[in-house]
Amino acid sequence: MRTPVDDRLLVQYLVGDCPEEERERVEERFFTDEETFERLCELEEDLAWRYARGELNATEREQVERAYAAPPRRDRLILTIALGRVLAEAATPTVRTPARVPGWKRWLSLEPAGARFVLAAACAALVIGLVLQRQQAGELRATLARSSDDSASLRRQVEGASRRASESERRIAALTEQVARAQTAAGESTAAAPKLTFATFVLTPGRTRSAREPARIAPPPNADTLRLQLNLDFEPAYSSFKAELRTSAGDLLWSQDRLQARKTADGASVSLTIPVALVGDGEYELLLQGHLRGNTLEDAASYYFTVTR
Amino acid sequence: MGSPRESAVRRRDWQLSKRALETFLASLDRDRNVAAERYEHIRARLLRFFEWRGCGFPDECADETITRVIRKIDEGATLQDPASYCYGVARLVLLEALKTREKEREALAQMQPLSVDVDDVQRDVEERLECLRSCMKRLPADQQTLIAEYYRHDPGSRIEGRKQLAASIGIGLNALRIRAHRLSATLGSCVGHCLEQEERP
Repeated sequence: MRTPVDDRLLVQYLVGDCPEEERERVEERFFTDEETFERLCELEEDLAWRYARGELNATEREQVERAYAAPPRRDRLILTIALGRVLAEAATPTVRTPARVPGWKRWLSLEPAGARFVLAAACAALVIGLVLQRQQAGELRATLARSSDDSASLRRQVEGASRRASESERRIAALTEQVARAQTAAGESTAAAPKLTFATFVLTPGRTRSAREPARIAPPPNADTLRLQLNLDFEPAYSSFKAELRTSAGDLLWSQDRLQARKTADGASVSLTIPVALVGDGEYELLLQGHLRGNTLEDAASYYFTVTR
Repeated sequence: MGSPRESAVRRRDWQLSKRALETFLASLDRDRNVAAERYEHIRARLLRFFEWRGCGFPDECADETITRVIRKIDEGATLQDPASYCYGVARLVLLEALKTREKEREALAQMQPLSVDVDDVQRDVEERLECLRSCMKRLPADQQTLIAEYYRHDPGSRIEGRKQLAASIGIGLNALRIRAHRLSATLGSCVGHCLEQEERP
Protein backbone atom coordinates (compact mmCIF):
# COMPACT_ATOMS: atom_id res chain seq x y z
CA MET A 1 0.00 0.00 0.00
CA ARG A 2 1.32 3.42 -0.96
CA THR A 3 1.87 6.13 1.63
CA PRO A 4 -0.73 8.88 1.27
CA VAL A 5 0.56 12.21 0.01
CA ASP A 6 0.67 14.86 2.71
CA ASP A 7 -2.40 17.12 2.60
CA ARG A 8 -0.20 20.16 3.01
CA LEU A 9 1.66 19.32 -0.18
CA LEU A 10 -1.63 18.73 -2.01
CA VAL A 11 -2.92 22.14 -0.95
CA GLN A 12 0.38 23.71 -2.01
CA TYR A 13 -0.10 22.02 -5.37
CA LEU A 14 -3.60 23.43 -5.70
CA VAL A 15 -2.49 26.99 -5.00
CA GLY A 16 0.65 26.66 -7.12
CA ASP A 17 3.01 26.97 -4.18
CA CYS A 18 5.35 24.04 -4.69
CA PRO A 19 8.45 23.47 -6.82
CA GLU A 20 8.11 21.85 -10.23
CA GLU A 21 9.63 18.61 -8.94
CA GLU A 22 6.97 18.31 -6.25
CA ARG A 23 4.24 19.23 -8.70
CA GLU A 24 5.25 16.38 -10.95
CA ARG A 25 5.35 14.01 -8.00
CA VAL A 26 1.80 14.95 -7.07
CA GLU A 27 0.63 14.64 -10.67
CA GLU A 28 2.23 11.25 -11.18
CA ARG A 29 0.42 10.11 -8.05
CA PHE A 30 -3.01 11.40 -8.89
CA PHE A 31 -2.90 9.96 -12.39
CA THR A 32 -2.32 6.50 -10.99
CA ASP A 33 -3.75 6.59 -7.48
CA GLU A 34 -7.47 6.93 -6.88
CA GLU A 35 -7.18 8.10 -3.28
CA THR A 36 -4.78 10.92 -4.11
CA PHE A 37 -7.00 12.25 -6.88
CA GLU A 38 -10.10 12.04 -4.71
CA ARG A 39 -8.30 13.77 -1.86
CA LEU A 40 -7.13 16.59 -4.15
CA CYS A 41 -10.67 17.21 -5.37
CA GLU A 42 -11.91 17.14 -1.80
CA LEU A 43 -9.24 19.57 -0.60
CA GLU A 44 -10.09 21.92 -3.45
CA GLU A 45 -13.73 21.98 -2.35
CA ASP A 46 -12.69 22.64 1.25
CA LEU A 47 -10.34 25.38 0.16
CA ALA A 48 -13.17 27.11 -1.71
CA TRP A 49 -15.57 26.86 1.23
CA ARG A 50 -12.97 27.97 3.78
CA TYR A 51 -12.09 30.89 1.55
CA ALA A 52 -15.74 31.88 1.29
CA ARG A 53 -16.19 31.66 5.07
CA GLY A 54 -13.12 33.82 5.71
CA GLU A 55 -11.29 30.98 7.46
CA LEU A 56 -8.00 31.31 5.57
CA ASN A 57 -5.14 33.42 6.85
CA ALA A 58 -3.88 36.32 4.76
CA THR A 59 -1.18 34.30 2.98
CA GLU A 60 -3.52 31.43 2.15
CA ARG A 61 -6.15 33.84 0.94
CA GLU A 62 -3.70 35.59 -1.37
CA GLN A 63 -2.53 32.25 -2.75
CA VAL A 64 -6.10 31.20 -3.50
CA GLU A 65 -6.88 34.55 -5.08
CA ARG A 66 -3.84 34.28 -7.30
CA ALA A 67 -4.36 30.63 -8.26
CA TYR A 68 -8.07 31.04 -8.94
CA ALA A 69 -7.85 34.41 -10.66
CA ALA A 70 -8.72 33.28 -14.17
CA PRO A 71 -11.29 30.96 -15.71
CA PRO A 72 -11.91 28.07 -15.64
CA ARG A 73 -10.52 27.85 -12.10
CA ARG A 74 -12.27 31.02 -11.01
CA ASP A 75 -15.55 29.65 -12.34
CA ARG A 76 -15.03 26.43 -10.39
CA LEU A 77 -14.28 28.38 -7.20
CA ILE A 78 -17.44 30.45 -7.53
CA LEU A 79 -19.62 27.50 -8.49
CA THR A 80 -18.26 25.39 -5.62
CA ILE A 81 -19.01 28.14 -3.10
CA ALA A 82 -22.47 28.75 -4.55
CA LEU A 83 -23.19 25.03 -4.64
CA GLY A 84 -22.13 24.72 -1.00
CA ARG A 85 -24.54 27.50 -0.05
CA VAL A 86 -27.47 26.06 -2.00
CA LEU A 87 -26.85 22.52 -0.76
CA ALA A 88 -26.59 23.75 2.82
CA GLU A 89 -30.07 25.20 2.42
CA ALA A 90 -31.31 22.02 0.78
CA ALA A 91 -29.67 19.81 3.41
CA THR A 92 -31.99 21.14 6.07
CA PRO A 93 -34.92 18.80 5.32
CA THR A 94 -32.75 15.73 5.69
CA VAL A 95 -31.88 16.81 9.18
CA ARG A 96 -35.38 17.89 9.96
CA THR A 97 -37.24 14.69 9.19
CA PRO A 98 -37.39 13.32 12.75
CA ALA A 99 -38.81 16.60 14.04
CA ARG A 100 -42.11 14.80 13.97
CA VAL A 101 -40.97 12.37 16.69
CA PRO A 102 -43.25 12.73 19.75
CA GLY A 103 -42.00 15.17 22.34
CA TRP A 104 -41.54 12.66 25.18
CA LYS A 105 -39.06 10.67 23.07
CA ARG A 106 -37.04 13.79 22.45
CA TRP A 107 -36.85 14.36 26.18
CA LEU A 108 -35.42 10.89 26.57
CA SER A 109 -32.79 11.34 23.93
CA LEU A 110 -31.77 14.97 23.85
CA GLU A 111 -28.68 16.10 25.67
CA PRO A 112 -28.26 18.97 25.00
CA ALA A 113 -31.34 19.82 22.92
CA GLY A 114 -30.54 19.52 19.27
CA ALA A 115 -27.30 17.64 18.92
CA ARG A 116 -28.58 14.10 19.36
CA PHE A 117 -31.68 14.93 17.49
CA VAL A 118 -29.73 15.99 14.44
CA LEU A 119 -27.72 12.78 14.64
CA ALA A 120 -30.86 10.66 14.87
CA ALA A 121 -32.38 12.49 11.94
CA ALA A 122 -29.30 11.90 9.82
CA CYS A 123 -29.36 8.19 10.68
CA ALA A 124 -33.03 7.87 9.78
CA ALA A 125 -32.50 9.67 6.47
CA LEU A 126 -29.48 7.50 5.75
CA VAL A 127 -31.42 4.28 6.36
CA ILE A 128 -34.25 5.43 4.10
CA GLY A 129 -31.71 6.50 1.50
CA LEU A 130 -29.86 3.20 1.64
CA VAL A 131 -33.05 1.20 1.17
CA LEU A 132 -34.08 3.32 -1.81
CA GLN A 133 -30.64 3.26 -3.31
CA ARG A 134 -30.43 -0.52 -2.99
CA GLN A 135 -33.64 -0.78 -4.97
CA GLN A 136 -32.25 1.62 -7.55
CA ALA A 137 -29.01 -0.32 -7.75
CA GLY A 138 -30.92 -3.51 -8.53
CA GLU A 139 -32.77 -1.80 -11.33
CA LEU A 140 -29.53 -0.27 -12.61
CA ARG A 141 -27.89 -3.69 -12.83
CA ALA A 142 -30.89 -5.06 -14.75
CA THR A 143 -30.79 -2.11 -17.14
CA LEU A 144 -27.06 -2.42 -17.62
CA ALA A 145 -27.39 -6.11 -18.44
CA ARG A 146 -29.88 -5.33 -21.21
CA SER A 147 -27.84 -2.54 -22.67
CA SER A 148 -25.90 -3.51 -25.77
CA ASP A 149 -24.87 -0.34 -27.53
CA ASP A 150 -21.87 0.68 -25.45
CA SER A 151 -19.37 0.70 -28.22
CA ALA A 152 -21.25 3.01 -30.59
CA SER A 153 -21.80 5.50 -27.81
CA LEU A 154 -18.19 5.42 -26.70
CA ARG A 155 -16.97 6.10 -30.21
CA ARG A 156 -19.25 9.11 -30.42
CA GLN A 157 -17.91 10.25 -27.08
CA VAL A 158 -14.30 10.25 -28.19
CA GLU A 159 -14.85 11.52 -31.70
CA GLY A 160 -16.77 14.66 -30.91
CA ALA A 161 -16.33 17.20 -28.16
CA SER A 162 -19.99 18.09 -28.32
CA ARG A 163 -21.03 14.44 -28.01
CA ARG A 164 -18.99 13.62 -24.95
CA ALA A 165 -21.85 12.31 -22.89
CA SER A 166 -21.08 8.65 -22.56
CA GLU A 167 -23.32 5.67 -23.04
CA SER A 168 -23.14 4.94 -19.36
CA GLU A 169 -24.57 8.37 -18.70
CA ARG A 170 -27.43 7.68 -21.10
CA ARG A 171 -28.10 4.46 -19.29
CA ILE A 172 -28.15 6.39 -16.04
CA ALA A 173 -30.63 8.84 -17.54
CA ALA A 174 -32.79 5.91 -18.61
CA LEU A 175 -32.48 4.47 -15.15
CA THR A 176 -33.33 7.82 -13.63
CA GLU A 177 -36.60 7.89 -15.51
CA GLN A 178 -37.27 4.30 -14.62
CA VAL A 179 -36.59 4.92 -10.94
CA ALA A 180 -38.64 8.12 -10.95
CA ARG A 181 -41.57 6.23 -12.48
CA ALA A 182 -41.19 3.43 -9.97
CA GLN A 183 -40.97 5.88 -7.08
CA THR A 184 -44.03 7.76 -8.26
CA ALA A 185 -45.93 4.53 -8.58
CA ALA A 186 -44.90 3.41 -5.13
CA GLY A 187 -45.37 6.83 -3.59
CA GLU A 188 -41.75 6.86 -2.56
CA SER A 189 -40.66 10.06 -4.22
CA THR A 190 -41.92 12.07 -1.30
CA ALA A 191 -39.81 10.02 1.09
CA ALA A 192 -36.72 10.40 -1.09
CA ALA A 193 -36.97 14.17 -1.26
CA PRO A 194 -39.00 15.42 1.68
CA LYS A 195 -40.63 18.75 1.14
CA LEU A 196 -39.63 21.60 3.41
CA THR A 197 -42.23 23.32 5.48
CA PHE A 198 -41.19 26.83 6.41
CA ALA A 199 -42.50 29.02 9.17
CA THR A 200 -41.59 32.65 8.52
CA PHE A 201 -41.21 35.31 11.22
CA VAL A 202 -40.09 38.92 11.09
CA LEU A 203 -37.82 40.19 13.85
CA THR A 204 -36.87 43.75 14.71
CA PRO A 205 -33.64 44.56 16.51
CA GLY A 206 -33.42 45.32 20.22
CA ARG A 207 -30.49 47.00 21.88
CA THR A 208 -30.67 44.87 25.01
CA ARG A 209 -32.55 41.80 26.08
CA SER A 210 -34.80 43.87 28.35
CA ALA A 211 -35.26 46.81 25.97
CA ARG A 212 -38.45 45.38 24.65
CA GLU A 213 -40.59 42.34 25.02
CA PRO A 214 -38.88 39.59 23.02
CA ALA A 215 -40.76 38.47 19.94
CA ARG A 216 -42.74 35.30 20.42
CA ILE A 217 -42.29 32.57 17.90
CA ALA A 218 -44.59 29.59 17.81
CA PRO A 219 -43.56 27.30 14.98
CA PRO A 220 -46.44 25.23 13.61
CA PRO A 221 -46.11 21.51 14.47
CA ASN A 222 -45.45 20.61 10.83
CA ALA A 223 -42.71 23.25 10.30
CA ASP A 224 -39.25 21.92 9.51
CA THR A 225 -37.52 25.22 9.12
CA LEU A 226 -37.73 28.67 10.62
CA ARG A 227 -37.25 31.43 8.10
CA LEU A 228 -36.36 34.58 9.99
CA GLN A 229 -36.42 37.99 8.39
CA LEU A 230 -34.16 40.25 10.42
CA ASN A 231 -35.19 43.84 9.77
CA LEU A 232 -32.33 46.31 9.87
CA ASP A 233 -32.76 49.70 11.51
CA PHE A 234 -29.72 51.13 9.73
CA GLU A 235 -28.37 51.51 6.22
CA PRO A 236 -26.48 48.27 5.50
CA ALA A 237 -22.94 49.43 4.69
CA TYR A 238 -21.43 46.02 5.26
CA SER A 239 -20.29 43.73 2.47
CA SER A 240 -22.07 40.82 4.19
CA PHE A 241 -23.24 39.60 7.58
CA LYS A 242 -22.62 36.80 10.01
CA ALA A 243 -25.46 35.56 12.23
CA GLU A 244 -25.04 33.66 15.49
CA LEU A 245 -27.89 32.04 17.36
CA ARG A 246 -27.33 31.63 21.10
CA THR A 247 -29.39 30.42 24.02
CA SER A 248 -30.22 32.80 26.84
CA ALA A 249 -27.25 31.26 28.66
CA GLY A 250 -24.99 32.33 25.80
CA ASP A 251 -24.35 28.88 24.30
CA LEU A 252 -23.79 29.02 20.56
CA LEU A 253 -26.35 26.86 18.73
CA TRP A 254 -25.87 27.81 15.11
CA SER A 255 -24.13 30.34 12.91
CA GLN A 256 -24.01 31.31 9.28
CA ASP A 257 -21.64 33.65 7.52
CA ARG A 258 -21.74 35.69 4.34
CA LEU A 259 -25.40 36.56 4.53
CA GLN A 260 -26.51 39.36 2.26
CA ALA A 261 -28.91 42.18 3.06
CA ARG A 262 -31.88 42.69 0.78
CA LYS A 263 -33.93 45.81 0.26
CA THR A 264 -37.49 45.68 1.53
CA ALA A 265 -40.38 48.11 1.40
CA ASP A 266 -39.43 49.41 4.87
CA GLY A 267 -35.66 49.48 4.48
CA ALA A 268 -33.49 46.42 4.43
CA SER A 269 -33.40 42.98 5.97
CA VAL A 270 -31.31 39.85 6.23
CA SER A 271 -33.06 36.52 5.85
CA LEU A 272 -31.88 33.24 7.25
CA THR A 273 -33.22 29.77 7.74
CA ILE A 274 -32.76 27.71 10.88
CA PRO A 275 -33.76 24.11 11.49
CA VAL A 276 -36.74 24.08 13.86
CA ALA A 277 -35.23 21.18 15.74
CA LEU A 278 -32.41 23.41 16.95
CA VAL A 279 -34.72 25.49 19.08
CA GLY A 280 -36.82 24.17 21.91
CA ASP A 281 -39.03 26.28 24.17
CA GLY A 282 -37.01 29.13 25.61
CA GLU A 283 -35.34 32.47 24.99
CA TYR A 284 -32.80 33.05 22.25
CA GLU A 285 -30.52 35.77 21.01
CA LEU A 286 -29.54 36.28 17.38
CA LEU A 287 -26.46 38.42 16.97
CA LEU A 288 -25.93 39.93 13.55
CA GLN A 289 -22.40 41.05 12.76
CA GLY A 290 -21.33 42.99 9.68
CA HIS A 291 -18.22 42.38 7.61
CA LEU A 292 -16.10 45.49 7.17
CA ARG A 293 -13.28 45.89 4.67
CA GLY A 294 -10.34 43.72 5.66
CA ASN A 295 -12.76 41.04 6.79
CA THR A 296 -13.18 42.35 10.32
CA LEU A 297 -16.52 41.87 12.01
CA GLU A 298 -18.58 44.50 13.83
CA ASP A 299 -21.68 43.93 15.94
CA ALA A 300 -24.56 45.29 13.87
CA ALA A 301 -27.76 44.25 15.62
CA SER A 302 -29.23 41.83 18.16
CA TYR A 303 -32.59 40.15 18.03
CA TYR A 304 -34.27 38.51 20.98
CA PHE A 305 -37.09 36.04 20.72
CA THR A 306 -38.90 33.40 22.70
CA VAL A 307 -39.94 30.09 21.22
CA THR A 308 -43.11 28.48 22.46
CA ARG A 309 -44.77 25.45 20.96
CA MET B 1 10.53 3.95 -39.38
CA GLY B 2 11.39 6.51 -42.07
CA SER B 3 12.96 9.95 -41.79
CA PRO B 4 11.82 12.53 -39.23
CA ARG B 5 10.17 14.41 -42.09
CA GLU B 6 8.22 11.31 -43.15
CA SER B 7 7.17 10.76 -39.54
CA ALA B 8 5.98 14.35 -39.29
CA VAL B 9 3.92 13.96 -42.47
CA ARG B 10 2.42 10.72 -41.14
CA ARG B 11 1.49 12.46 -37.91
CA ARG B 12 -0.07 15.38 -39.77
CA ASP B 13 -2.09 13.12 -42.05
CA TRP B 14 -3.17 10.71 -39.34
CA GLN B 15 -6.86 10.75 -38.54
CA LEU B 16 -8.79 9.22 -35.72
CA SER B 17 -10.47 6.09 -36.97
CA LYS B 18 -12.74 3.49 -35.45
CA ARG B 19 -9.99 0.94 -35.71
CA ALA B 20 -7.55 3.19 -33.83
CA LEU B 21 -10.14 3.84 -31.18
CA GLU B 22 -10.84 0.13 -30.80
CA THR B 23 -7.13 -0.53 -30.39
CA PHE B 24 -6.88 2.20 -27.77
CA LEU B 25 -9.84 0.84 -25.80
CA ALA B 26 -8.46 -2.67 -26.00
CA SER B 27 -5.20 -1.37 -24.55
CA LEU B 28 -7.11 -0.09 -21.53
CA ASP B 29 -8.89 -3.36 -20.85
CA ARG B 30 -10.20 -6.39 -22.70
CA ASP B 31 -13.60 -5.92 -21.13
CA ARG B 32 -15.33 -3.15 -23.00
CA ASN B 33 -17.22 -1.77 -20.01
CA VAL B 34 -14.08 -1.69 -17.91
CA ALA B 35 -12.24 0.00 -20.79
CA ALA B 36 -14.96 2.67 -21.00
CA GLU B 37 -14.66 3.27 -17.29
CA ARG B 38 -10.90 3.53 -17.48
CA TYR B 39 -11.20 5.98 -20.34
CA GLU B 40 -13.47 8.19 -18.23
CA HIS B 41 -11.05 7.81 -15.36
CA ILE B 42 -8.11 9.07 -17.43
CA ARG B 43 -10.05 11.88 -19.02
CA ALA B 44 -11.24 13.17 -15.64
CA ARG B 45 -7.63 13.38 -14.48
CA LEU B 46 -6.53 15.08 -17.67
CA LEU B 47 -9.22 17.73 -17.29
CA ARG B 48 -8.19 18.52 -13.74
CA PHE B 49 -4.49 18.42 -14.59
CA PHE B 50 -4.92 21.05 -17.30
CA GLU B 51 -7.18 23.11 -15.09
CA TRP B 52 -4.83 23.02 -12.11
CA ARG B 53 -1.94 23.93 -14.36
CA GLY B 54 -3.70 27.07 -15.53
CA CYS B 55 -4.68 25.93 -19.00
CA GLY B 56 -7.54 28.09 -20.31
CA PHE B 57 -9.20 25.28 -22.26
CA PRO B 58 -8.84 21.99 -20.38
CA ASP B 59 -11.34 20.17 -22.62
CA GLU B 60 -9.42 20.90 -25.79
CA CYS B 61 -6.10 19.97 -24.21
CA ALA B 62 -7.52 16.71 -22.80
CA ASP B 63 -8.91 15.78 -26.22
CA GLU B 64 -5.62 16.58 -27.90
CA THR B 65 -3.77 14.42 -25.36
CA ILE B 66 -6.07 11.44 -25.88
CA THR B 67 -5.90 11.81 -29.65
CA ARG B 68 -2.10 11.74 -29.52
CA VAL B 69 -2.10 8.68 -27.30
CA ILE B 70 -4.53 6.88 -29.62
CA ARG B 71 -2.31 7.75 -32.57
CA LYS B 72 0.73 6.40 -30.76
CA ILE B 73 -1.05 3.13 -30.07
CA ASP B 74 -2.31 3.01 -33.66
CA GLU B 75 1.29 3.34 -34.77
CA GLY B 76 2.14 0.20 -32.85
CA ALA B 77 3.24 1.40 -29.42
CA THR B 78 2.44 -0.85 -26.47
CA LEU B 79 1.62 0.95 -23.25
CA GLN B 80 2.40 -0.69 -19.92
CA ASP B 81 0.55 1.96 -17.98
CA PRO B 82 -1.84 4.04 -20.13
CA ALA B 83 -2.62 6.53 -17.32
CA SER B 84 1.03 7.36 -16.74
CA TYR B 85 1.64 7.55 -20.46
CA CYS B 86 -1.26 9.97 -20.84
CA TYR B 87 0.26 12.11 -18.11
CA GLY B 88 3.56 12.24 -20.01
CA VAL B 89 1.80 13.29 -23.22
CA ALA B 90 -0.35 15.77 -21.29
CA ARG B 91 2.75 17.56 -20.02
CA LEU B 92 3.92 18.07 -23.60
CA VAL B 93 0.49 19.30 -24.67
CA LEU B 94 0.47 21.68 -21.72
CA LEU B 95 3.86 23.12 -22.62
CA GLU B 96 2.73 23.70 -26.19
CA ALA B 97 -0.55 25.26 -25.07
CA LEU B 98 1.16 27.60 -22.62
CA LYS B 99 3.77 28.56 -25.19
CA THR B 100 1.13 29.33 -27.79
CA ARG B 101 -0.81 31.51 -25.40
CA GLU B 102 2.15 33.11 -23.66
CA LYS B 103 1.96 36.35 -25.59
CA GLU B 104 -1.77 36.46 -25.17
CA ARG B 105 -1.38 35.96 -21.42
CA GLU B 106 1.25 38.66 -21.16
CA ALA B 107 -0.98 41.12 -22.99
CA LEU B 108 -3.88 40.26 -20.71
CA ALA B 109 -1.69 40.53 -17.62
CA GLN B 110 -0.72 44.07 -18.64
CA MET B 111 -4.34 45.04 -19.09
CA GLN B 112 -5.61 43.86 -15.73
CA PRO B 113 -4.03 42.20 -12.69
CA LEU B 114 -4.93 38.53 -12.47
CA SER B 115 -6.23 38.25 -8.98
CA VAL B 116 -9.59 37.99 -7.30
CA ASP B 117 -10.88 39.59 -4.17
CA VAL B 118 -13.12 37.92 -1.61
CA ASP B 119 -15.78 40.58 -2.14
CA ASP B 120 -15.69 40.06 -5.91
CA VAL B 121 -16.08 36.34 -5.39
CA GLN B 122 -18.93 36.80 -2.93
CA ARG B 123 -20.65 39.15 -5.33
CA ASP B 124 -20.31 36.62 -8.13
CA VAL B 125 -21.56 33.87 -5.83
CA GLU B 126 -24.58 35.96 -4.87
CA GLU B 127 -25.30 36.65 -8.54
CA ARG B 128 -25.36 32.94 -9.22
CA LEU B 129 -27.36 31.72 -6.22
CA GLU B 130 -30.83 32.31 -7.64
CA CYS B 131 -29.85 30.77 -10.96
CA LEU B 132 -28.25 27.81 -9.22
CA ARG B 133 -31.34 27.19 -7.08
CA SER B 134 -33.46 27.26 -10.21
CA CYS B 135 -31.04 24.96 -12.06
CA MET B 136 -31.00 22.53 -9.13
CA LYS B 137 -34.78 22.33 -9.23
CA ARG B 138 -34.64 21.40 -12.89
CA LEU B 139 -32.55 18.31 -12.15
CA PRO B 140 -34.46 15.05 -11.70
CA ALA B 141 -35.13 14.29 -8.03
CA ASP B 142 -32.61 11.47 -7.81
CA GLN B 143 -29.86 13.65 -9.31
CA GLN B 144 -30.65 16.38 -6.78
CA THR B 145 -30.36 13.76 -4.06
CA LEU B 146 -27.12 12.42 -5.51
CA ILE B 147 -25.38 15.78 -5.62
CA ALA B 148 -26.66 16.73 -2.17
CA GLU B 149 -25.45 13.43 -0.72
CA TYR B 150 -22.15 13.70 -2.55
CA TYR B 151 -21.30 17.04 -0.95
CA ARG B 152 -23.08 16.44 2.36
CA HIS B 153 -20.37 15.00 4.54
CA ASP B 154 -17.93 16.86 6.75
CA PRO B 155 -14.30 16.95 5.58
CA GLY B 156 -13.30 14.17 7.97
CA SER B 157 -15.90 11.71 6.78
CA ARG B 158 -16.41 12.76 3.18
CA ILE B 159 -14.42 10.03 1.44
CA GLU B 160 -16.00 7.33 3.59
CA GLY B 161 -19.43 8.84 3.02
CA ARG B 162 -18.89 8.87 -0.72
CA LYS B 163 -17.70 5.28 -0.68
CA GLN B 164 -20.93 4.30 1.07
CA LEU B 165 -22.97 6.34 -1.38
CA ALA B 166 -21.21 4.70 -4.35
CA ALA B 167 -21.75 1.25 -2.84
CA SER B 168 -25.42 1.94 -2.23
CA ILE B 169 -25.90 2.94 -5.87
CA GLY B 170 -23.88 -0.04 -7.00
CA ILE B 171 -21.07 1.84 -8.75
CA GLY B 172 -17.41 2.53 -8.02
CA LEU B 173 -16.18 5.61 -6.21
CA ASN B 174 -14.59 6.95 -9.37
CA ALA B 175 -17.78 6.47 -11.36
CA LEU B 176 -19.64 8.33 -8.63
CA ARG B 177 -17.11 11.16 -8.71
CA ILE B 178 -17.41 11.40 -12.49
CA ARG B 179 -21.19 11.47 -12.21
CA ALA B 180 -21.04 14.22 -9.58
CA HIS B 181 -18.53 16.12 -11.71
CA ARG B 182 -20.88 15.91 -14.69
CA LEU B 183 -23.81 17.10 -12.62
CA SER B 184 -21.68 19.95 -11.35
CA ALA B 185 -20.66 20.80 -14.93
CA THR B 186 -24.31 20.64 -16.02
CA LEU B 187 -25.22 23.02 -13.23
CA GLY B 188 -22.33 25.33 -14.18
CA SER B 189 -23.51 25.42 -17.77
CA CYS B 190 -27.14 25.96 -16.71
CA VAL B 191 -26.09 28.83 -14.42
CA GLY B 192 -24.12 30.38 -17.30
CA HIS B 193 -27.19 30.30 -19.56
CA CYS B 194 -29.37 31.63 -16.77
CA LEU B 195 -27.04 34.59 -16.16
CA GLU B 196 -26.91 35.35 -19.88
CA GLN B 197 -30.69 35.44 -20.01
CA GLU B 198 -30.83 37.75 -17.00
CA GLU B 199 -28.37 40.13 -18.64
CA ARG B 200 -30.43 40.36 -21.82
CA PRO B 201 -32.58 43.51 -21.94
